[in-house]
Amino acid sequence: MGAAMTCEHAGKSIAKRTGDGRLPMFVRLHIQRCPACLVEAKRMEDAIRTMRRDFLPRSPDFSAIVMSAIRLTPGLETTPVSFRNWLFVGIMLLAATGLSPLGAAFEWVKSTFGTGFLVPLNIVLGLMLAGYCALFIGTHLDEFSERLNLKHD
Amino acid sequence: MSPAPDTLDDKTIVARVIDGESELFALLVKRHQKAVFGLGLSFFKNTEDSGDFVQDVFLKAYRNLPSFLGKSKFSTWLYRIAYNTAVNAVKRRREYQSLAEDAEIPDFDDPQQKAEREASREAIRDAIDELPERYRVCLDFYFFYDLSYPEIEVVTGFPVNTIKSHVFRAKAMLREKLRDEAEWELP
Repeated sequence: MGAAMTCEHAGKSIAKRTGDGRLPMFVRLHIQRCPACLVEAKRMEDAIRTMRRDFLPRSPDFSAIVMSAIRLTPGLETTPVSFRNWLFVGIMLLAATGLSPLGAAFEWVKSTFGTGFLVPLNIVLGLMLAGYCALFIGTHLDEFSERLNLKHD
Repeated sequence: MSPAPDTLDDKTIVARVIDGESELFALLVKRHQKAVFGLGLSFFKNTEDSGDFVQDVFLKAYRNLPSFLGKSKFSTWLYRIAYNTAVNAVKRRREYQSLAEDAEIPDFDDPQQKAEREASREAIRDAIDELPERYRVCLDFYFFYDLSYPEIEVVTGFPVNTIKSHVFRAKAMLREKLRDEAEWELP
């Protein structure tokens, strides 16, 4: 019973092993003493190795056609800004727009100059937001046209 | 004397392509087209659309090469582009069909080898059948594309613990199946 439990544990550890990760010491010791577990571990390893080697379907060679398409493309997209950075800037811009009327500086300007400055301020903020949106859309045209099904073959 | 291009690793090739040796990109296509084509077949289920998919993925990868920072393997980065392209194209992840469904088992002289491969495929297929549709791709990435758990997380965006538990379950089923197979062979 005890030996069976150990084999069961060893089997579970073998199944849990990731990649080339080492098995726990007690499992390795058990496998050394237990021919059945040794065979099982080897069989699992072989099965996974052959799946990784044999199961992908055969593929035609696309290198020539891809390279001829590449020669027609304008070039690499240099200095890309990550989506996360775009999102961060957008959120900061929105937060600044929304929170600025709550600041002490805003109150001081309002009490000193009255509310007349709000119109140009809003125009400036609106232009900043519009500029941000235009840049974002302009630099993500491919993604937008794909997501909105605007691409024509 | 510089080494032959064939012996260069992926990251070196990427750096040289960015530096202007764009023809070296063909080596990356040759190395990874089989996997991208396999993924295409799983999503589109025909060779014509899968061929278009392969070209689309490699063109996207080429255009975005400067955004590959070398933090992950090139293959992981490429598979993420491929996976996102495929998911966006088919809209619904449930249309995914595992490679275990129709993988060709090559002929082996040794019938035991062939039987073991059949058993492996059957085990993965059974495990996949028990999975929610959207997670099926995880098993393929692990068993057929040789991706680690963190790499599958990067490619698919699924939590690593979810991936681990699905793969562990599939491995347990594989273990059972191989054990049954071995017992069957005993005289």
